[in-house]
Amino acid sequence: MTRLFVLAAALAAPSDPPPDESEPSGSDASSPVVTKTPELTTFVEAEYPESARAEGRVGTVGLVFTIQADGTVTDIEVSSSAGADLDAAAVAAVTQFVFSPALIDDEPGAVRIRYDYAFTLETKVEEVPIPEPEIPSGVLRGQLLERGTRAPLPGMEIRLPALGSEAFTDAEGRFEFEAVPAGTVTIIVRDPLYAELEDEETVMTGQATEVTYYLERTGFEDGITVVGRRPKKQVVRRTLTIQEIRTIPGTQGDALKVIQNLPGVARQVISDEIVLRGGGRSQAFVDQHPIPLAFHFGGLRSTVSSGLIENIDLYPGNFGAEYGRLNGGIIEIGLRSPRTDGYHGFIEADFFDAGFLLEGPIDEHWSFAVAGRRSYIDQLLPLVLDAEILGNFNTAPRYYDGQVLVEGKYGRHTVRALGLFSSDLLEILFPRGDESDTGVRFGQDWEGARLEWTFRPDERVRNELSVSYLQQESGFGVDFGGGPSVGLDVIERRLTLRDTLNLELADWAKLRVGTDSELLLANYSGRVPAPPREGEPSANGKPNEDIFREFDADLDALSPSLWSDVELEFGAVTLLPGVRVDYFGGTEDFEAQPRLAVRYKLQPATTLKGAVGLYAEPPSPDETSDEFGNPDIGPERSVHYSLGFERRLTDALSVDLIGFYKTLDDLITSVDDPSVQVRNQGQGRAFGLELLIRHDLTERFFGWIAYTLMRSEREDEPGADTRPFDLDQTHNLIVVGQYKITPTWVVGLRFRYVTGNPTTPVTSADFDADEGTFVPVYGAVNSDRLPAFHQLDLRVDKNWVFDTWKLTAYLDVQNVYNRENPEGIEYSFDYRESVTQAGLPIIPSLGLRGEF
Amino acid sequence: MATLTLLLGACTDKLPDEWELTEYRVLAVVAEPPEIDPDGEVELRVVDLDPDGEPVTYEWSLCLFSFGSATNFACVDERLDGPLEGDGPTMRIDFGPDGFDIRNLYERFGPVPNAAGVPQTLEDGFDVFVHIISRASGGRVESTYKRVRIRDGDPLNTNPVFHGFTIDDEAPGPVGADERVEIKLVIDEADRELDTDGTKESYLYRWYATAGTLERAFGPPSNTVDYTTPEEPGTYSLFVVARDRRGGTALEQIEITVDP
Repeated sequence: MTRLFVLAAALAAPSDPPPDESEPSGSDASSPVVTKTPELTTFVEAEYPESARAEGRVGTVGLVFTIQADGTVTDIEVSSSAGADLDAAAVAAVTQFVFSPALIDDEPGAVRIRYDYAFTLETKVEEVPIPEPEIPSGVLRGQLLERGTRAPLPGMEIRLPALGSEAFTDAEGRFEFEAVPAGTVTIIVRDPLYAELEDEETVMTGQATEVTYYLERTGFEDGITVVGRRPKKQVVRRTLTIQEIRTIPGTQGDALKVIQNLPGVARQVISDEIVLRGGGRSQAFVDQHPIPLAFHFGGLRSTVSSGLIENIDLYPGNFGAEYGRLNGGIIEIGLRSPRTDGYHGFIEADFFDAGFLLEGPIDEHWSFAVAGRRSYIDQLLPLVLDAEILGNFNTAPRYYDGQVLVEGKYGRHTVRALGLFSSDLLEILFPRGDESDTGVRFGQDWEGARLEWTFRPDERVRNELSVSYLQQESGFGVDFGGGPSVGLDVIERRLTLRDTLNLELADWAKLRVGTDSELLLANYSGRVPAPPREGEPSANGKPNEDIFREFDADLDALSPSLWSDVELEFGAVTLLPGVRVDYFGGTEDFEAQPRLAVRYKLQPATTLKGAVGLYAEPPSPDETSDEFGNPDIGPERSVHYSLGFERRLTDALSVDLIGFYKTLDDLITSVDDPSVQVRNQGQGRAFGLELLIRHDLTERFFGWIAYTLMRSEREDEPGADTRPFDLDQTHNLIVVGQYKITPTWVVGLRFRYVTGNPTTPVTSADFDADEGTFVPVYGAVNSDRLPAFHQLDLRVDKNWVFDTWKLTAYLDVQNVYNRENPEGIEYSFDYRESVTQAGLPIIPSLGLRGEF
Repeated sequence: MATLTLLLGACTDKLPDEWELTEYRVLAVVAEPPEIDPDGEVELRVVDLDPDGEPVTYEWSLCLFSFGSATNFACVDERLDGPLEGDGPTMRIDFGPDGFDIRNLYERFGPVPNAAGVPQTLEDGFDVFVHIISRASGGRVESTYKRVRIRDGDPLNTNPVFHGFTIDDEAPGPVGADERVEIKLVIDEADRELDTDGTKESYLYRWYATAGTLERAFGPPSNTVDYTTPEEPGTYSLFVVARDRRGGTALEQIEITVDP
């Protein structure tokens, strides 16, 4: 008797705990993803029923059952009978099977699978000669692969209608029919996600016929349905899947740029920073470790290849205890495992840059992925700029990045090594033919490596240990000629260590304990004016000489932390209390930060949710420096509150509404005292509503409407007037939609409407006779506001799918109706006149992507 | 690309050029000497231009201790801020015992912190801020600040000295209409003083014209400038202000005759 195969594809069917058909496919309206299929670890051979053995009866019992999060088998159903006695024997055996559980969003979860148990009688040639077949027959075996990607298609049903036979593909997409009558046979494969296959094959007597079929995907969906998935723990997590990441208009398929289309994210003009819920520093993490910069050149492109990203979680506030040192929010980028089903990759290019990815297995344990990207703006500039302007570029704008990922799996151990680097450079010179050449230089480089080890000693315990080292070198220089130049050079070496122990104490209690520690070794040198702080205007014009500082300072800070939370499920209520204790080495402060998230399933399709938590953020290096700050200042602190609900309206449509309130205390603000310069004397708050109406990925359509209504305001010192934060955007509306017209044509749009940013008006100016420049006199901080921003972006994708590779071409048009969005104010030399600076005009970008 | 757009976009043609003298402008305030002994006197002269030639009135005041532009030139103590008598373009200020008696004031108030908060001794030197409000009869008002550096030590700074101009490396002479020429301010290296770091001082130049077109007049500053003459024949003025970043200022003027 032989075991046939395990089908990794899950079926939409009940499980234990019973499924909730109306449950949102992601309580944040996102679809959970099976990140690891279950594997059979304990196989129990069925006892061959004596009655069947005596009759020489063989057969295959088709079973459908649920593999629970602990790997045990429940809810066994016989989908294809081979006789009552064989059915019973198969069920009895499968009941004792143990699997390594499926991982859903990297957490153990229940899935429902199909499994065929075949009963065959062993024959001894010398004792029982094999009878000659009465009908000439052969074997028909083959493999189903996805057209274009060559991805195996497990769990697909192949039918031979003339014979009444059916089989299912295994994890590698393989199938086999034995004893197929010789001659022509019709094969049919039908699946809602793929184009129907109907083909004829000729089977020769006594021979095996090998076939390979490539099925063309017709819908968006991943084709994996997850049941009994883990409940979402945090209240305001918003998840993007890779399909959504790739095709949003206006983002050139860039993963991180897509998050700017979610509620709670401020629209930025030119910045590599991400501002969430009005204020406080926010940070991007790759596999839980911070990266210095998420974007190249002020947000043009993310520094990590989108091809390696599996999902992005955005927490605009109320994030869990595992993260800290921030008062804003976090972006968690999860890298996927390299593929092990052969060598795959892609090459892509558009108006700005070109990139590639190559991945595949190394051996049975190890796999790898290599990705890279380089811009060619510097190569294209000669085509659009005249030689005189171009001659000024010493190095035209260019960026590149790369990642190398190696992953090994040995039983309960998973090891991952990641190397990554990123570089941006721009140099412009204005030659004068004498020693007073002037120029601008801007550069930022970072590179690093990390090791991760995940160990799962048993199904209720998992430990994740990782260590990361990143080195960042950045700086800029401005040489005005004939005098001391202005510039800043920063070298930061950051060693971060994370360890998280996951313990399932009971079915209703899951404990996590961890450390998130950081060692920073940095050097800052240069000659610059004090960097403007939140709300401080920076009008055009050369700063006056007397505000420059020369410095060369080292900063070493060890900032360890311990954190823990426990997920408690009491029926419809899920509690997630947690606490984090940070020590900030830069300021020598301890910060204890309790946090709590609560979810209550009011109805099967409706969940109420709320959260409250304390957060703390250490000062930046310049704020504690002697030159620009105050060594005696402490952390800024905040309290995050969120309250809202989510409701599944239809199978595909969901709504998520969150009200939030964030207090910010001990804000570091400038003081009119050169001996101190800054103090923890400000306070502020941000409050509002975030609405997300989302249509999940279905066969032809997905999209969402994101709307944020917000007010973020602050007082810079006790008794001072209340004023808006720099990115106080009252209304932020984003509509995103994408429709698959045919299997190969996809169109999408994005529309944005955002209230204009606050600005500080210039009321007059004084002529500095020693510098020959005008020094502006400002009005009340952020007392004025730019006109609103609105923009429409369109995108069209066309796919050509071949058997072993796929080509995609897209046209992405930003600012379709060429709106001159005011993004800032430019003043004349004496500040008496001003004009608004318009944002980017209409930009069509053509891209190509070939993948195999 | 966004960065590139920002950089290129900074060169807008919608705003007036700084070099173009079309309205009343203060070009410089020359202090003689630019750095003075605590017991000395200084004469300040406003160098300005009103294309209409209308009269201008001046209102002078002085602040003995300020952090400069870091605090918007606000005076540290209002008792140290006061008007000066006179409404002409020149002002003579006596810091000696018969005037503001700066040495005595310094002893009363102690070392004065500079903009970085570092206390400055008399030997280090410190700045006194003079504020001038000039009103042209056309209605335009300019608010101007000038630092006067007071220092107890030698040698004291002096104003830069230049030796005329060349046009396309030749002695100045008539040039054609709508013609591009290079104007150069002649420097004798022997005239350059030593800066505080022991190297020869460098100058920051700013060029101005009443007609025609100047290129690279400010970015970057240089002792040469490209000038395209007007299409109309006539005599036109170019000005260059050179500053040594230690208070020393000099203004030079060249009249260019444009032939048909």
